[in-house]
Amino acid sequence: MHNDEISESQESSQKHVRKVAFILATGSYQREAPTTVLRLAEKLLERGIEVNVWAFEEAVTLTNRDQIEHNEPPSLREVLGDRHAPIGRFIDQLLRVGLHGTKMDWVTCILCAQERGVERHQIGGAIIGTLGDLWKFVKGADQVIAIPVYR
Amino acid sequence: MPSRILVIFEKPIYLSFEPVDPHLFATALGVADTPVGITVLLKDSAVTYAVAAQEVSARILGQEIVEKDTSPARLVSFMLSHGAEVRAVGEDLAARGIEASDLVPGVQVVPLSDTVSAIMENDGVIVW
Repeated sequence: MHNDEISESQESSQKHVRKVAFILATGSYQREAPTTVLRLAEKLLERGIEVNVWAFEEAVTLTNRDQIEHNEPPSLREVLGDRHAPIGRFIDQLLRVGLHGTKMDWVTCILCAQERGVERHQIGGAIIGTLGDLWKFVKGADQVIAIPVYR
Repeated sequence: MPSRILVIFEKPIYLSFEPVDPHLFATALGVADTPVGITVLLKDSAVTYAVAAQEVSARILGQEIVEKDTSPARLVSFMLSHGAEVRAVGEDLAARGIEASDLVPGVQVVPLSDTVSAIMENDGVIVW
């Protein structure tokens, strides 16, 4: 295939991506994966690409509305600062972007949330869902990005 | 009661929405707030924690998720200044192309074989 054909093919492929599904299993404050998903989601939304996130296993804690923006221990404030923002706040803000632009849906696995006692503690924009939603997201997506739990 | 603890880091964590890896955070608190003598051994990929010139930053919707300019290197400096020993395994540094001159001043470069003696010298070991 010539470069022109490759470029045309890539451009054509890019034009057809209108919906991306993320599958995320990593919980709060453990790894970089949730940060990566949020950064990618933001860029996709900016490009008008719809984002669906299916959060399961420990990732159901990311949208726990009861995260508290606590103070850091006094002896470490000189290096850590006074406090840091909880991840749920950023997810909430990305969900709100969809009010006036391309939307992101965030579905929390009901079984995983119940196991961890966070089913009734989800932020307003998170939707409690099932494995059926996962497969509907996968079926409806132009691209699927799954990040395994150890990332 | 243990008075000397060896803390081994193997896998680094960046940008987890904590200011730094919470294990590093917990270790630094032990160094600053307790009488326990702490030796930190950085091995495998965690040797990157000792690299001086780290800039940790990520922005989402225009907001920095790491609100204060912090990095593992700053915690390493902090622990050194509060009496901890910090060692990095030379073989693991070499495997990643990291020179001793890249490290936070005060970090000791040690051979992997020193891990055994470090374990023997201490009353307890924490592996993160």
